[in-house]
Amino acid sequence: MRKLALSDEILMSVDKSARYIGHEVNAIWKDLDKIDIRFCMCFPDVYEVGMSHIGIQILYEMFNRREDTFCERVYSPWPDLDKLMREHNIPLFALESQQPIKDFDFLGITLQYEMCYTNVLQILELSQIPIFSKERTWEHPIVIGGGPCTYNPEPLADFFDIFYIGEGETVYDLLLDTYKEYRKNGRSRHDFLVAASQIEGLYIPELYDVEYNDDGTLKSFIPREGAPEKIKRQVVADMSDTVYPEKPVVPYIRAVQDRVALEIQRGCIRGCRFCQAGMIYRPLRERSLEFLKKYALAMINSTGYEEITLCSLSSSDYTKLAELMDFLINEMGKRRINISLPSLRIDAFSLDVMSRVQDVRKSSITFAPEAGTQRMRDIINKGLDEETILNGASEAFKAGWDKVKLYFMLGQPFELDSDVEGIPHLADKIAMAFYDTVPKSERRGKVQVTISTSYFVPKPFTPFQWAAQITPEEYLRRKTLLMDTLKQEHNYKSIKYNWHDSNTSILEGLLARGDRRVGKVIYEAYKGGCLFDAWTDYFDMKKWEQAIERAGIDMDFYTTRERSTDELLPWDFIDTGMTKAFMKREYEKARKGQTTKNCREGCGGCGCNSWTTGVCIEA
Amino acid sequence: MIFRIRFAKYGVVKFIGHLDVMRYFQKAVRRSGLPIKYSQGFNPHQLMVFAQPLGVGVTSDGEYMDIETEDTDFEGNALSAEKVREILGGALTEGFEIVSIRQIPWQEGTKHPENAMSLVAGADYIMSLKDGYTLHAKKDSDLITSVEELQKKLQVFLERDSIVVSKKSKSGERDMDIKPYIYEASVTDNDKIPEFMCEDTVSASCSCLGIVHADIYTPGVRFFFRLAAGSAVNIKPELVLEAFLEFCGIEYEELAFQIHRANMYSDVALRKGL
Repeated sequence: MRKLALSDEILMSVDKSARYIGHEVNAIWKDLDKIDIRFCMCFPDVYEVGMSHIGIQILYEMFNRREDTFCERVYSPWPDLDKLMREHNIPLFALESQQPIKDFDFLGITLQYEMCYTNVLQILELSQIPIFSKERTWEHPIVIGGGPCTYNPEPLADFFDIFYIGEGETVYDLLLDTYKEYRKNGRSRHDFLVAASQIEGLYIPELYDVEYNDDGTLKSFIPREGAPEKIKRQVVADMSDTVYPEKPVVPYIRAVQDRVALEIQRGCIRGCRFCQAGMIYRPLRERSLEFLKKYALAMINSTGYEEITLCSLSSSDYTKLAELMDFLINEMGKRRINISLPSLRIDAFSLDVMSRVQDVRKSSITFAPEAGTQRMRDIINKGLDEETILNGASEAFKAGWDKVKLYFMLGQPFELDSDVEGIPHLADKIAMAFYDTVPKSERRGKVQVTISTSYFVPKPFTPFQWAAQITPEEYLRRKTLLMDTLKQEHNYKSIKYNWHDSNTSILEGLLARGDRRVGKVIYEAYKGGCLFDAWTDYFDMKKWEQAIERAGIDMDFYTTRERSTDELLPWDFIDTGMTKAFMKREYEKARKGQTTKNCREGCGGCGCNSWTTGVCIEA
Repeated sequence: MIFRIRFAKYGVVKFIGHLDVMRYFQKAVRRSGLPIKYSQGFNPHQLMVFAQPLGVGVTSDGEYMDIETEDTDFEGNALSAEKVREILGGALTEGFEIVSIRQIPWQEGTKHPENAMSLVAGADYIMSLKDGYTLHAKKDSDLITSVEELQKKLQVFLERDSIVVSKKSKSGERDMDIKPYIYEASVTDNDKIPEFMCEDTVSASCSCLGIVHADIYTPGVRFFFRLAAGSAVNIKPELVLEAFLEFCGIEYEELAFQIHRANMYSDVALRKGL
């Protein structure tokens, strides 16, 4: 029997103790005596969330293919266990070996959303690793960050030794080889970090000096000891010739994504101006049908899951989707495996596919117009017009659906009150389409249209990276305007409205576009008791406000201030392949309400064709 | 075809709750390729019935589930208990183990035989004092140091006219005389197993499949109980032990004992396993 890090007494007194025992189906075990490098991958949120993330499964597979490396996993201990670990001075441990992470060579933390930042500090502190990078020695693991939030890593710069900018599949081998060599030769930790800075895509924050102007903006950002001025984002050139898990780890308890995840492509052709994912994963690269067929079957057979889902930013843009669906419906049907299809554009094809794989009466169809008027949809370059939405909805109603979800954002640049009012107008037209399309005798009650609005947060490396975030008060005003308008709609009884909390979004705004000084807020917030901020039950705005005050940070400077396009931005040292000129051009076009074609209709000249792969070289 | 599978659950997976164990087996069946049958409807589910939930933290050598399968595997070979053991056993991971499988006689088209869940009438439990714990008398005069002395006290306890405990249920707490539902009880050190634990075997020797995965602890105090179980009356072993220790003037600490379910019975008098 394997020994657990936690006693029976502790495991019996915490909620869902299966989060901490490891030992899941397909979890990897290696002989520790034959290992040179111990790597711990961390998703800084609760187990059920972290286990749903495909990126960690890919890297777990990749690291463990190396004979000299054993990659294990760790997730954030829930507050009940957090308290007990502190009381009993138990160091945070990796799930596989149940051994303390502080004795590992690397701790890799994926940064998927800003509201997990306090959890990062919890992971470090519970691991008994110094929170600040500058206090670490060879006695401690190298702490490395990755994931979308590293496109502006500056607020976390003090806590990490290395940031890996871009897709994890490319240069980790080089980093691990360098590490082994430097350890073997008895070199210093600092020498190793300097050597790591020479590997493309790796950013070592301590090698950069930052200066500020009197007005608080960035004055200079200067590398030392030969570190590069620009960090080049890592991109997988061939998505069909790269690592993917055949045997993903299967949790015992139900994860948020309790199914096989098949990433069919990476990147997006659409170019929506608010969307960071659509910009930082360019260019769109599809995986081959053969690749997907092989891994779909392998993963279903090795996990025993009863559902498979396709992952991508816009599945409808996958060129061989019809063929892939035919294959999946046939093969999964035989095995009684359900298929789920998120991120599909609603049209005749997708409705046909959806009606073949799901219970029409129970499911709903989803549109993400993101804005209520055509004017506003042109501003954000959302290539979706009202006619398409209404036709799609009508088709769906004919096929038997009677639930529609609509996603919008409030506070995108150049939004007018008339754009806000356009949201309930559109919802009303959709409801109307239902009553026009479906005869009374065939209705099962009212149509259910649900509007959700989120509070727009401008993100780095999007054309809106310079834009002002609206204030929470303004967001609430627009929310109220929307609600009041909704009450006057003809079909308002068929329409429901949900809105996102304003506090988390404004903080997200601070953390997304913050500089190094914002790290102090994160530290103060954590020390003040903030943890699991992505969880409504734990999020405490008062504590954050106190932290901001203690850190002496001007919130408005980072959130509601519009930046000049000439300003040196904290994340400008990253080269995503997309040029600043392109982003400026897109921002200007947004101001004028001009649209840009998607990558398949015509190249927008973003600069990512320098990778010469994917959609950029499609015939 | 219907097969009744007896399985063990031990080691770190004792922390996995009943619903997750069910999901675990559903996935294991899918991985194994066992031709299980599915229910009708838009969301078909596997025909799989578990006898009785096992609490989180409890180990077992006596869990049961029924599965209904096609008559042949995917290659057209007739299924048998042995074949099912081979197919499903290969998909199980450490901590789950098939103890035995038997086919339940049934002619398709005739009335379904009673399933494992409805058959459960009794269960055997072992409660072992864990490392680092002692039996704490509330008063010094009640100090009990030897297993023999505990066994004597246990006899006196069991011979009382009634053993009334307060039993929690969904509708609240109520007093209940559990004496009629305690079929056997004994306490021994690590070297002995009470006679009633010996399962029916062909050989005359006392073989006990029920204790294979019961962890051994240094204090060497092990209580054995055979109690009513199932949907009609279900007596948890901790309820009995708490009452007994209370009777002895010993403080009952919930975490001091590792509970292990040894087996389940359909007919306690006949010691008939499920």
